[in-house]
Amino acid sequence: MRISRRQFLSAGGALLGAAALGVRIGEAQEGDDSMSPAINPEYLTGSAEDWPLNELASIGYRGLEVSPQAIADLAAWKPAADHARLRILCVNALPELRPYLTGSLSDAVERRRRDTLRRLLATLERMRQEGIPLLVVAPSRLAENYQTPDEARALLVAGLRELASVGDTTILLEGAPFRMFSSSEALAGIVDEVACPNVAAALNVGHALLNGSNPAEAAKALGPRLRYLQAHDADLRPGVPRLDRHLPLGTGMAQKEDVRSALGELPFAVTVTAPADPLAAARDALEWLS
Amino acid sequence: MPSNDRLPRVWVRPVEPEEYPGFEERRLKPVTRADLDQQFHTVALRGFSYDRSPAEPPHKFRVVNLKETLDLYTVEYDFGRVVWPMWPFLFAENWREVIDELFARRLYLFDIWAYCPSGVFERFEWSEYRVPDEVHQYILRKMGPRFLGYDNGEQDGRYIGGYAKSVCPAPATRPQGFQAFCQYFRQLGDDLQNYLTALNSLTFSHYFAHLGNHRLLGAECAQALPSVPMWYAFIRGAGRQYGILWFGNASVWNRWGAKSLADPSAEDTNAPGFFSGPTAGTSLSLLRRLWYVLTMYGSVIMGYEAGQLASGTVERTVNGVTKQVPDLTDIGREHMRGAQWCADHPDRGVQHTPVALLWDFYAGWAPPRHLYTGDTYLVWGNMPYEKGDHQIDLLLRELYPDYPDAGFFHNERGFLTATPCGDSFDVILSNAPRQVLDRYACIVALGETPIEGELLEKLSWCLQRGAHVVACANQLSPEAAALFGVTVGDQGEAYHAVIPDHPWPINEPRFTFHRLTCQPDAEVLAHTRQGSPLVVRRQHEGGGFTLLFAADFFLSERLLSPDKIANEVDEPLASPFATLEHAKGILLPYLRSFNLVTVDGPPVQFLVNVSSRTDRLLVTLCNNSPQPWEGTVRPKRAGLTSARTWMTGEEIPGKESIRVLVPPLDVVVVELLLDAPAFEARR
Repeated sequence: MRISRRQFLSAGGALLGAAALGVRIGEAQEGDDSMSPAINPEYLTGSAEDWPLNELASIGYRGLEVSPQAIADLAAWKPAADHARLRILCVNALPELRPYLTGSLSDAVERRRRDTLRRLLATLERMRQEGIPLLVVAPSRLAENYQTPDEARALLVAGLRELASVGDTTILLEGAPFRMFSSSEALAGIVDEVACPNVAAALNVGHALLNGSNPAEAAKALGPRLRYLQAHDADLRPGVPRLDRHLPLGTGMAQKEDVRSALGELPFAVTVTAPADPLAAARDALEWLS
Repeated sequence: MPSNDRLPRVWVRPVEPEEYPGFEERRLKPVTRADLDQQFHTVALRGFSYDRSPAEPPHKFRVVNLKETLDLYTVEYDFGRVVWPMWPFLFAENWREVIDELFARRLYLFDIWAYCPSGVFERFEWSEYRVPDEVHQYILRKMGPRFLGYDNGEQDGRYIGGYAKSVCPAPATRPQGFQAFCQYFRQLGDDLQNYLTALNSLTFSHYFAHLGNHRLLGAECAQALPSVPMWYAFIRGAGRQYGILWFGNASVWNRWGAKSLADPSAEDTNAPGFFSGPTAGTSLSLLRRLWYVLTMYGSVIMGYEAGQLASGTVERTVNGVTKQVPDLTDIGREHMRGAQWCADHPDRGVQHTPVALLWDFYAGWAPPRHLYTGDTYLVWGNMPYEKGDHQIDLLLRELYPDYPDAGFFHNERGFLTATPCGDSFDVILSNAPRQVLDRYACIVALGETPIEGELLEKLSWCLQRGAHVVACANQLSPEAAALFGVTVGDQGEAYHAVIPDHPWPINEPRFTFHRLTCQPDAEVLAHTRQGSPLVVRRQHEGGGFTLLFAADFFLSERLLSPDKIANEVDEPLASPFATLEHAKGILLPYLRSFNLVTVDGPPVQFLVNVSSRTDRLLVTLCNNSPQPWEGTVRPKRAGLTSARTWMTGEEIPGKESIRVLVPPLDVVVVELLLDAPAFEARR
């Protein structure tokens, strides 16, 4: 199934709910066209290969969130995903947006910023061919020493506009921990400044927690800009280093009622990392969310 | 314990990079001693002057006063032959002239510094830049091996502090942590022609060496950086594992400011934008001790970061020409004194490091706290310590007391430490080949390091060659357990230990251990009251022993929750675990026994250097206390024919041992000539 930007933004351009993209949690049915609930198998297993796709489908997942690299390597795993009737809901570009390591939309080194955009544009082209509706991106950290937040923000806005200009894909800006513009208020301001209909926001529960936000409040602050949710947990116990570990739901500080409130009818992906026992974590995540 | 019946076999050869397998095939050759003219070198200067600010558009600028500057630092004052400049000169209009002049004077071009990821190039300060091919090729053609590399300057700390945590999600496995680390350093290497010198700021020197694009390893010590004896166990170990020489340097900076003795009567001030002055920054005594300690560690280059010249001038005649030049500061005088001392004592031998601390290649271990983050207890900068990482930390605290405090205390605690078991350890990673492990009389396996497969095969080989191997039962595969003379059973708990030849049972914090069934040739050195073995020793045909601890990582169960651990300046850092008392009681004397001398007296840092002359030992005693140190030094296997301090040249009387006085916060190197060989030289 391919979903065009127009379809995606139907219903007044507001939320694309589970009715269109997904189903209610735990009610996946044979033969439906849903893509949610989705899961990021690369995060789940900690590996770029040997994903247990059939098992994930049998647990109740209907869609996948994958990395740009996985999109470039579609031939290696797409047949198995098709066989498992798992469709690609979202490309999560954060692995391409590790400041300096891989790139950034606000890099002060222009050649690397352009290189980042070039790679994301290539990903968008593949996504368009495959009919993948969502691309998640995130702000960067401040470039070292001489970049002001305003300069970084201007580059980010320009980059988002450039990505949005090339097709139907919805570009979702997400707040990531240990980076700039991580609050919902800051993200909302940037999405509004970009002012492109296919630029919206995503909320990552674990990231929101690490940023010191309650997920329900963060979702409320994003309002109608919020189109997608990612769910994993974070350990905020006093004295424990703040790390973006993508913990299984229920093992950190996430509260069910807050996550359910944030989720509403949104399409979503489980973004837990649990290489030791991925299927148990995947199963537990759906149970926790239901 | 090592046998007293025969002489210890001691590796006396220095690292010779060209003797390492694969040297000829390496795309980038490490610096060899031949490249350095078989000499020890000292650093002359750290930068050049320009006719205008390079940052000023259109960024056309020239290096000026080049000859005068080089004359001042290498002729009028012979600080050394190594020039360590900041990078903008690479883009000066007369960059060729600079290279030509360095070449004509047969100087070394070293560690071109101030690369900074994402820093704006046009600022010509801490900036990200790419070395133009034309410039690089010209430097190589002109300088040849006398070009020592571009600076990978404290970038491990920068990665940990600024980038590791933005890896999303944080690595789930340690190989993923390694991969993310490598992503950062691939970028840096590509920008800098993959022709690097590693100025480490943390404990990742093995990984830099592993990348294959570094010519030298080293560090600029003090600042707010790690404890030097602990740190150089890593740097030296990486150098020995990968066949790369290492250098030393000492910084005038500390966490709070920088020492400036340009005007010794000036008050400390914040006027330059940072705290600076005669009493700011690194103390003169620490600078002095670092010179001799780093030199005796085998550094091929040594220097002080800055501050050698005063603002006042003096008249000086050199080569028949008299002129006014800046006077020396106390730092400058200490530099000249240290350089002369090194020239007067060229036969410093090789530091005796009989014990390898070995752990898994992918460990990514870093000290529990450091300058670059307020977080504590992380590996790779983005993964929490596991219990095995705490074992490494806690053993290092026994070997280098207070080491985690380096950079955190105004009184400089931790930068140099006492060494109760001797400054005699190298850190080696599990991928080390046999010929590297073969250097060590004892290998202690630490951390989350499964002893199986290739590592087990290598350790077995070392045992056959007479080495000793130490491990914990929770690290062993069944095959490894057989080597240690046990079968590993289920887990139990205890809170005491009995050492048969000790007068009293030992109370312990609660700990988990594996029940061991011993083979007949295994000797139980400690057990529970119920008779369950806690420490098992087994002798092997090659003459060495295996020593096995039943307790997991010989640590207690967790004693402190994370919220009870504060990371504050001028406060020690608590550990959530404790090394078990019976492990200390057995392991520490065992490790100490590999030293060639016995040092008795108050806590002191000591190291021994050896050479092919088996009746000669060099003992460095570094007193890191404000009290005078007085104690005795006794060679273990021979009497003395003479002893002489290299600091004054005076003889020290003594037949079996010598009594040595080390002034407060000072260092003494003593040469011992023996009436019989103290060891057998391994070549």
